[in-house]
Amino acid sequence: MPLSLIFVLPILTPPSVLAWIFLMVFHGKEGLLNAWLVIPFFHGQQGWLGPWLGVPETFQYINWLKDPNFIMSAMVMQSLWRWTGMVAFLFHCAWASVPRDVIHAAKLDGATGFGLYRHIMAPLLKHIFVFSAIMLVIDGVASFSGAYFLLGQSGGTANAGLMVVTHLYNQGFRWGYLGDACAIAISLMPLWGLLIIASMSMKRS
Amino acid sequence: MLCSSFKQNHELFKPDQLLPSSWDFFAWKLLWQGELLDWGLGLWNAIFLSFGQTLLAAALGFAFAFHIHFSHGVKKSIQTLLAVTAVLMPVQVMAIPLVNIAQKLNLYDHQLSVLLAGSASGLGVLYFIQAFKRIPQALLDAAVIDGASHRHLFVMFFHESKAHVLGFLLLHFMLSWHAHLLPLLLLHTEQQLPLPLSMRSLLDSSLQFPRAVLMAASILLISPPLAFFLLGYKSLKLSLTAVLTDPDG
Repeated sequence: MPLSLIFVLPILTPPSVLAWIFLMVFHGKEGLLNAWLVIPFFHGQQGWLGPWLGVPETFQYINWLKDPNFIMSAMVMQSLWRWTGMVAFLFHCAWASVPRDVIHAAKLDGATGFGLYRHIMAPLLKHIFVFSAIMLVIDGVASFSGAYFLLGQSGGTANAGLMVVTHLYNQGFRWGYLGDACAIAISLMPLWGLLIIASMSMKRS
Repeated sequence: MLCSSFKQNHELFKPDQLLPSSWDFFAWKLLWQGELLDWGLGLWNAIFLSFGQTLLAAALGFAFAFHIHFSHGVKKSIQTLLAVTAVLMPVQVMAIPLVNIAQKLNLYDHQLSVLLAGSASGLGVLYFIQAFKRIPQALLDAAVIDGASHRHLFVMFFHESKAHVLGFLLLHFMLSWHAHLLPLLLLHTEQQLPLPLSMRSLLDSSLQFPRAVLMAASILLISPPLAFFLLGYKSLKLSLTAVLTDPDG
């Protein structure tokens, strides 16, 4: 139970709270990510790896929330942190339902380590891979509150972190262009159609 | 987050300082006084909205799944497809029609609009369809032979699926607790807003504002879903284990 709680705690945290926590992680020079990882390893002059990797000497830290080259990476890291535990919990639940006879039989036949994973676990949990992929695609496209608060209710510098739903909300409800907002919503229909087809195909396979 | 609720502003962005310099409850006192944020009302609104949506979604999902379970052929396929579509179509895409409908029903800026919009969930239908597959067909046949009506079968299904109902209640509660867009669009008055939206005013505050208050409010915000998760963990795990087993649907 305590380990499961650690896995599920990120998904229990509301995205708006998560945005504030990650503001401390991504905050300029004193943010956790820069202070613990980027500056010690990749600083142009003082980093362990920076000079070796040819990083320019003027490089000091990454401005995760302002540099348009890194804004989306920050969004991805936030989403990764939020969903990894939940997906692990789903796999844990699905693995618990696999009959142990199958695993014992495989071990008797000589399956070990990676072979056991590749030939037994992966095929039996294939539907969880597909389910998780579809669920995460839906969450990614429908993502709103995390990016909305982290980037100050906008898409960030040069709209590098602009999400579809943020754009829809701004067009329709902040600036009053309801027609444009409806068009944005309808333009997502082909994607949902593909996801529905993928889901039904998974059902039949 | 807990340690940050005791820190001053200048300590918050010091990555090498995990613990606060002093364990002062200033932020908690400020929050308790309710001057910066009416956290009690916000928390109550959040619990009411999440619980309401969850109970309605569970009731609707259970009823539709029960109906689909006894359907056959093309009708069953169409109904299942509609449920899948409802799951895959996020509410964000339906945001504008939902606001229009709420306005036409005179439910704009009313919590009932959020309850109704949030309860229309295809997830419950699919979840309970999978759960009902666990009920032995022999049990159903014996009940029908003994003269059980549809109502009796409904009650029997509920008794057999109690763990799944509890698991779904927990899952949907967590999902609706995090839902941000619907209350943002459909609610306007400060007294109606759930706590995550009420906290927006703190997020937009100046740098002089003690951010520890935000951290303290965040801990309050996580507490209900955390408590329900701890209470319903076994049911959730049991239910997910059963639901995720059969790849058919």
